[in-house]
Amino acid sequence: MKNQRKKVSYLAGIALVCLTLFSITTAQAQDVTTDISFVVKGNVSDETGPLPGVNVILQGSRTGTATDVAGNFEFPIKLKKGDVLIFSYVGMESQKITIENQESAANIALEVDMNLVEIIVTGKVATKKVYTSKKNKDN
Amino acid sequence: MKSVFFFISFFIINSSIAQVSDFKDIDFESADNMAELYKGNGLDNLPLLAYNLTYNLDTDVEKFRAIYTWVCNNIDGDPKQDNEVFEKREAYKNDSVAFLKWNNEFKKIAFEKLFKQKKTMCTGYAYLIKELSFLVDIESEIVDGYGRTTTTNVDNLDLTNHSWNVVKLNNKWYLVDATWSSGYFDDYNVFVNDYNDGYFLTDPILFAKSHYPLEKKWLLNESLDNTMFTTSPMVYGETYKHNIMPISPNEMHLSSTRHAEIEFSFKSSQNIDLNKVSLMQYMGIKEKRFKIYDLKKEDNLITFKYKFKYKKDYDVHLKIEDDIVATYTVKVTE
Repeated sequence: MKNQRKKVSYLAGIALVCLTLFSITTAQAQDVTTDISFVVKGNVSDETGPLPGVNVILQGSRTGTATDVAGNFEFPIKLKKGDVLIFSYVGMESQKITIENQESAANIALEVDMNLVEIIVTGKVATKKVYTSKKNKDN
Repeated sequence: MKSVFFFISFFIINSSIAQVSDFKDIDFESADNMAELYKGNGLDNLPLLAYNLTYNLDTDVEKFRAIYTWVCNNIDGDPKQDNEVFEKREAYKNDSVAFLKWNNEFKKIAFEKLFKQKKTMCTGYAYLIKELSFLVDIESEIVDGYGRTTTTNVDNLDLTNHSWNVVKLNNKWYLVDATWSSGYFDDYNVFVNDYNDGYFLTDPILFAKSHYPLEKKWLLNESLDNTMFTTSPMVYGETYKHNIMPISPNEMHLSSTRHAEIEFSFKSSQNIDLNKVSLMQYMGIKEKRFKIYDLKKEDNLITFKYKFKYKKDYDVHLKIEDDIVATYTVKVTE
């Protein structure tokens, strides 16, 4: 009797392990199915027209490309929902664009407008001069 | 046990002066090493540069530190641009439309020079700090305002001449000045790269001795106002380097009578050797030390006294080691 009970609990244990294993794999499988990746292409321009040489980088990585003479780019790897693309060009406001999930679309076309940085130039670099009052300068 | 107590008290003293002590547990060595590793890197791919500088650093403050030291040690100050901006600002002081028109044209030239030659003036430094921070998800803003130097904004807020940054770390804003950290112009107007850590996460009260923002909120301390800015003793890069907070006299221009006692005091988080503290004036190019007395140190407050003997207008300088850290004028009457 005692032995039988042991056997039952042993079998139950195996069943439990199997169940957990399967549920883990199904959970993973579900992840994969929602992880649709896209080819991302686009065009970058500013107020004067297409902008060549804009860096397009996947945030948190070294993967990226730059726009061609017509301002076009095709990202070298497929991207998925939630990935952030950085568009950067010295003197322009950088932009971050998050890839949205687009059902059934295999391509994403981005139209990116870049704007000049809004700044006022100032200039005062430190010197090593020591203050002298006008009175003492004349002396 | 004694040494533990010493350390604790050291940090308490420290925290009362420098904001950087909010991050006292963090060693900036790895961040500085990252900046060193990418020394000489170009500006042609800012997102990649930002990633390279920060990818193996854990905290935002370390990431920001790597960006800050990199910018300070890789970008040169440009005296030509500095002068040109300065002249135009003076010329268009009362004509903001003409200035803005010039500004927008000049901006393009300035960015090209920054991009190709890595030379700029304050705006370029502040822009790079903001941009590189943004690329690694750290919030930073450019602050425009008045920089007080030996020749500008001494007694009045004359000219908007300087830009620096604020950066948000752990939900708190901090002040930094990459331009003045990067180095200085020597007597021949040549830029010398000489990193000054004193402008990194500086205490707002000390920072306000030489920086007054157009938007008051960026003082980061409500008690400060512009009269304090223009009347405070003149401070220098070395003041920040040694972390010296002048306490008294709290005004730059003093008047006194012969043989009247004046007490001088200042605070520093650093361990200042009393033998290296002096008060001096220039006689031509020669330095003449005053015979100060009652020189003492209590916690981090250093005080001494002096009586001026002659009826005269003095320019007196407070010196720590070989560095002038504060200047006062004293008008001594009978």
